[in-house]
Amino acid sequence: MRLLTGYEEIFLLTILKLKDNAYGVTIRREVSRITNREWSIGAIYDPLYRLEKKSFIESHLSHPTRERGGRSKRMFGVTEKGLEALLAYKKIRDGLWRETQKLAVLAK
Amino acid sequence: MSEPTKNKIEPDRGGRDIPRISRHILDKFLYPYVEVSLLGDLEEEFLWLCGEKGIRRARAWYRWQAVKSLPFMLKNVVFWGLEMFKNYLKIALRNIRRHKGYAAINIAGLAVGMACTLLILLWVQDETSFDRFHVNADRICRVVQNIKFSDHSTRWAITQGPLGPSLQKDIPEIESAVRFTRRTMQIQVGEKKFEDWVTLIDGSVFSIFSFPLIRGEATTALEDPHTMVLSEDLAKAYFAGEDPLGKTVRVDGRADFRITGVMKNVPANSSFQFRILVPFIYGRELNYTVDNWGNSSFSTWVLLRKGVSMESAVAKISGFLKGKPTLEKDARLDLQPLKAVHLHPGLEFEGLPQGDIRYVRIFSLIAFFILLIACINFMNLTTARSANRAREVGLRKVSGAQRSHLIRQFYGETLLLTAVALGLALLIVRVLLPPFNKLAAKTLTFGLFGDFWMLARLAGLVLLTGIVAGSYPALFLSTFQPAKVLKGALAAGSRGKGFRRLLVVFQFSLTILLMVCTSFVSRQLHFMRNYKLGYDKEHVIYAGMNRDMRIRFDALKGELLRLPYVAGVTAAGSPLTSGYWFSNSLWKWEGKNPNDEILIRADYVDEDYFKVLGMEISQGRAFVNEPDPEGSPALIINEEAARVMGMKEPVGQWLAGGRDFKGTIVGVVKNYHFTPLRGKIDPLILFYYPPQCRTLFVKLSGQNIPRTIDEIGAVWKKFAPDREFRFLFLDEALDSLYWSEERTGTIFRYFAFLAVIVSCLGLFGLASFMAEQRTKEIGIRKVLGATIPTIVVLFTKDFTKWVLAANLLAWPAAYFAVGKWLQGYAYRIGIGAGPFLTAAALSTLIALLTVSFHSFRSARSDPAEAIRYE
Repeated sequence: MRLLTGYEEIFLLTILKLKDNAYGVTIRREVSRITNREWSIGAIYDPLYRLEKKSFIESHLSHPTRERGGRSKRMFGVTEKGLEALLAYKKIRDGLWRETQKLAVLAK
Repeated sequence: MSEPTKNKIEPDRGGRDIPRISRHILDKFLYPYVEVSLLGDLEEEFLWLCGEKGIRRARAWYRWQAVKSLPFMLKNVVFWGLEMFKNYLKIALRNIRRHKGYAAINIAGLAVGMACTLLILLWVQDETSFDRFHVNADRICRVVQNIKFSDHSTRWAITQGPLGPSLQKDIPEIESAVRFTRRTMQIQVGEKKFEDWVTLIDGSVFSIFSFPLIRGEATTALEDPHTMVLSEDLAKAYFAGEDPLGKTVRVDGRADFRITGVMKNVPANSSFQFRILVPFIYGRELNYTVDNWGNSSFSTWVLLRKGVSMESAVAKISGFLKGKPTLEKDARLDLQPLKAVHLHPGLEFEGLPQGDIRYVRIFSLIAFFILLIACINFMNLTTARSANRAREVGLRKVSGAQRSHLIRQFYGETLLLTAVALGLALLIVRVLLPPFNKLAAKTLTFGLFGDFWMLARLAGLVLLTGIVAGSYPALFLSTFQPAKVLKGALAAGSRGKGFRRLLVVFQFSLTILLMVCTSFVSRQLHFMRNYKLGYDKEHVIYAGMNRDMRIRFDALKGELLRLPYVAGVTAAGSPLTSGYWFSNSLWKWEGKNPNDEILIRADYVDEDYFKVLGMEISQGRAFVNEPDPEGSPALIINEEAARVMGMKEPVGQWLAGGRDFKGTIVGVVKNYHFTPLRGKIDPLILFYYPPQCRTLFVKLSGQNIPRTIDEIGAVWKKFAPDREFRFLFLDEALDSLYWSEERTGTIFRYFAFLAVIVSCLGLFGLASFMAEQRTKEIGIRKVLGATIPTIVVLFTKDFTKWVLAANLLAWPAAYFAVGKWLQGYAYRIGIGAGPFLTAAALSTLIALLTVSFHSFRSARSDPAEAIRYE
């Protein structure tokens, strides 16, 4: 199985964290906050589409809401496969961190 | 969330604060290409920003988002637009290539239609542009006289000599006035002698009209009575490159004129074709009634002051002649705007070359008809073949094309074909313009480049034709339901059949209408040319004599009669093309009701007039070569005059006219036409007075005509060495009276012919399509034993029926139009059935020939192959 990239991990974790409220605006805000840089509105969708293509996440259109000028949201959720990939990635990284603890101490 | 108010969203504002234009742009151009929810995201972020940073910052941010996405949007729109355009073009070209025949018929029909339209438009443009080039065109009017007689009223284009200056002096609404008249004079430059029309005109001509001088001073050029202004062309012809200013020429061998100005050549679309101008007051030396209220023979034009309406000026001058010593007692003055002069004929003593608004309208209508016929062809052929395109439409729709896309595609295709047709039409116009110019007696030019309006008009023509011709196909084809057409539920050519029939009927109606009208125009012309005029016009030549010749007329006559092939010689005041010298309503006779005002024409003749020209004296006698044998001047009247005067026995009765003239009627001449056949024969009085007879008539025996004319020329030379022998044949001159009708008739004929051709092209295409569609049917019929004739009849029956229906539709329209046109002629043909039946027969024959060509071909084909077809 292919390993996740750093951004993919960040996006998957953000969606998980947002639970039922993961869509363009909220994801963008969270990711911007975590990475400490402003993501543009359009830019957020490219990595999301890529994750969806790889079946790590899935999406559906919500009912239109009033504050969005009568337009629907695309709601995102992490799939089984996405969770597995996250866990696999976490396992590899945690192992690696343990083995290079010395390095981590140095980093502190 | 420390300050909850900041986050408060005002939901009821419902996005009203969002910059409207930016939102629209994003909506329109971003939507088809990106994530659907993105736009919602934008709005949500906007609302959030409103709470966070205020509306102004939020709006700025939103706008910035729109601007940022512009390059992306542009790329998408242009790229995909181009991609689709490439595809449309490819499909269009493929369709043309695959159905070369149809495409050729379509394009050829449209091209011919457009070429006709263009030619007629050029003509119409020229006709309607007459006299518009004057800067003051809106303020210039001609003064006309409305004169009432007992039985009719008339409008005269001529006025009294002193009228112009008095109007200018007495009527504040009139800024200035100009009078003119013209005559032929002999101009001698050094040794060379020329004869040309000379206009006697007031110097104000240059301030009223826009005839710029390229040499000389406009304000003073025509001040001195012996000054002259030449047109550029004539200045070149007379002085061959030398500076004409200050040079002198001799006029009529009696006065020297100094050239004080050179005028730019008058444009072709000017009613006035001035070439030589001399001061109006020079007329005094020619004994013109320049200062006399008693004679109307001059053209008077006025320039109204700025802001003065024509109506108020007319109200002011209408009764101006009251109290003036004019002969026309009840004449009321009226104004005719300069812009109306060319296209609204009908004034008496017009003097300016005339067009006719009726012909402008008729020709515009014909142009429109021909274009319409071509457009109908296009619609017919395209809808007939729609089945071939149905699958494409279905597939496009399935792939996501909207109806508007398809409409755009089909309009585009039509416009492409129309543009190609226009290219072809321009070529046709190039080729046909010189013959058309000759036909219409015009000097039209067709400059494509450098004339913005021409280009705009052509673009308009393409657009109009494309939209008219493409509307039905575009709107019809785009309605196809993909599921049905892909399953093949659409039988080829079956849909829109009723509509197509209607179009064919309409198209043929227009063609038949043109055919019938053409036929009647030709008949009326033939009728006028061969009408018995009441005198003998064959083998008669006539020429204008000068004063010397008139004085020695007896001697001249004697010498001419001695020539071997001269049958007779006579003279009259006027040529028979407009056979009266003057007209007024001052005549009195025994028993005349003093309140009656009757206009009577009059002319001078010599004693042999009736004998030589073959008019019949019905009562009394002709003139004799003796002055006043009965003590008072002898007069001969025509039968019409006898009728209006109520005289049963006119011979011996007296007639009084003018100041102290009283004459005795010695004879009555049978009515003859001394004016063109458009009008009735007027009452006429003829005087015996050879010194006023300016027109020489020579009757030839009809043998050795060229030699005889040479001999007459030699005699002429003896009597008038300075005057060129210029003559006309009477019959030809009479024919030339009907030139405008003749021209109209010929143009009509050509365009009707073209309309027939275009209609037939359409029918041909439609028939060939039908034949193709019914290939299988024909095969089966033949297998079952049908013969070729039965099949041909089967095919043609359908078309014939509709062509006959078209006839029924066209006849009433034609009857109405022809009736209306013929009303303009006092002597006219009746509206017989002949031309209608001929048009019916001809149209049916043409339709049959066109259709049977195809039906015959398909009827002869091998049934085995036909059944395997499809």
